Amino acid sequence: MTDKSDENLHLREYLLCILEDEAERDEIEKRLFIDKQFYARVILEEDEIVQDYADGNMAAREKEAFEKNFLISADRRENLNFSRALRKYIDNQTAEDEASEKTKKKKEIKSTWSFLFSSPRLVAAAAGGCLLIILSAWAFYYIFSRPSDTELAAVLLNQVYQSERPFETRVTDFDYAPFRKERGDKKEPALLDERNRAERILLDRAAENQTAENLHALGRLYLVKKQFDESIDRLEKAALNSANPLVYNDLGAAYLEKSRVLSGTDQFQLQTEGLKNFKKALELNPRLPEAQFNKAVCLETLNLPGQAREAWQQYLEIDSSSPWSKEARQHLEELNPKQSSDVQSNELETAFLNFAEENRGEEAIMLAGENRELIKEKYLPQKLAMSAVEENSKKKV
Amino acid sequence: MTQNLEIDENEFETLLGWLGDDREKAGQKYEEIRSQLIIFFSARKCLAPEDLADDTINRVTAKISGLAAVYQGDPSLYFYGVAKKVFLEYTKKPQAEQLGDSLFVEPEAENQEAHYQCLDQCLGNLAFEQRRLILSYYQHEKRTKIEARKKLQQEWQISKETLRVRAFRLREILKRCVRKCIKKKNHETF
Repeated sequence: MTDKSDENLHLREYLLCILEDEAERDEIEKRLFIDKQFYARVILEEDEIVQDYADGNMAAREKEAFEKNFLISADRRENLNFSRALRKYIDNQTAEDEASEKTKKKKEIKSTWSFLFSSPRLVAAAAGGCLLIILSAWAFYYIFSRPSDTELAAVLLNQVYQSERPFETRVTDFDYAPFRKERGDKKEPALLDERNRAERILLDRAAENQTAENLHALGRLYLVKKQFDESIDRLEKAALNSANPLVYNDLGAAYLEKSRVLSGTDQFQLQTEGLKNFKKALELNPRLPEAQFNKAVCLETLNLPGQAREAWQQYLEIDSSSPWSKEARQHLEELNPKQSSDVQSNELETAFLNFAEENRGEEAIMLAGENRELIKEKYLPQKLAMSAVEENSKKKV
Repeated sequence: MTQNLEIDENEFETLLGWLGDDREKAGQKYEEIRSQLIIFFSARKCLAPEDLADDTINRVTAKISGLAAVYQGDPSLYFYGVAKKVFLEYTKKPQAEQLGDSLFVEPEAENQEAHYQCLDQCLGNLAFEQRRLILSYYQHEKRTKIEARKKLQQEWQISKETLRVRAFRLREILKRCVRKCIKKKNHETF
């Protein structure tokens, strides 16, 4: 077993029945029976999984596994009932505390006013105070005409990335900036102080109140900082509490950009997850330019040129004049001449993509295996295609 | 799916004796082993993990007269070995149901309300500080939750792990209380 944090993660995956490493699973099972302390950790972790689910504090993958696999025993189902009741109780308690705090403050103000009006001197002082308030109101109005914290953070981040955006994918609330494809790790942006300031603002806002808007803003910040896991965590939570297409777009962008640092089937899974989220955003708003742009980028990344071509054309129907549309046209030019309009290839791409999106990985692999031409022309990621050929050969033996 | 083993009282007493000299500790060990078995079968996606756990225990109990005399080592390991065999048999038999798309079923409103009322009652039975600990422990989310828990650790002068265990124990007390309360309500309904 590796370090503690890996251990906890493997334990959680084991309980959710998504631990792929069989050796790791066997090790956990043995320890479960012979190591009393470890057993205690296991039942603690079980409880925390259930409470996380009841609190809505679970990433999509875990949530899916929880609903599919975890509630297999009566004890766990009962634990969920308990956890939900506890969550409801705590939420009601918090609301009651806030309400009683407000009532207490109102009473204090009322008693202050009664005291003030009990004496002429105090009345005079109160009149003077009112004048002061009127003068302050002008300043107060001025203060409120300034942008909110979240808006200010967005302005700062736009300043940071105005000359170059961090990756090809579009993030909402960012103005156009070119993307330069360069090898190797890019340098940090110049205006780091501005970015740090934006981060402080957004962290404070999220700490005060974990609304979908605040979580989205924070998720977006982590995305442009390329802290993809943190970004996905915040954006998943924002998506739980809101049907905002912008959130789904940014979540898709996080998955797609994260996939670029991985390889093989992990990369492929994240890319399809990205695509799912772009599609979800477009279901909610079919003319959302960011999501349409990103969908096209994602399809190209998945090496599906037919689908990507169509997506770029759809983008230009939404936006034909901005600097983004110029990039879209460049993509179309790069995609157009080489491939023939091969109807069969387009149908195969569509079928492959459908299997992948529906998590029907085996059928996707079979399809790739049956179509060696598809592999030759490099329509599919090379690694996946070769493994599909091998898989198919094994099955025929 | 499970063997129909008849276990008599003598065999069960022998089993408890094998698990520990002290009857109460042996009973706790029994519960612990049963819980471990349920986790084992659940993690392997077996339907009715409780039945398979009981089947495992019954098979061990059926052999207890010979086993207690010769087996050396932690009894838990023996149960683990038998559980793996029970699992293999389970995988070979055709299952009446397969693990479907989702085990999650939205609970009935009445059931949820009953749990809530019972929890309210049970929390009232806790000492003030215990109540405050459990509610503060589960309040808030992510970042503020972490900060709130750090505050609790400082206040109680205990480590993160100790706090976690205390919260877990209080939770177990509450769960047992709520379970009793729900049973009582159901009994009153009928």
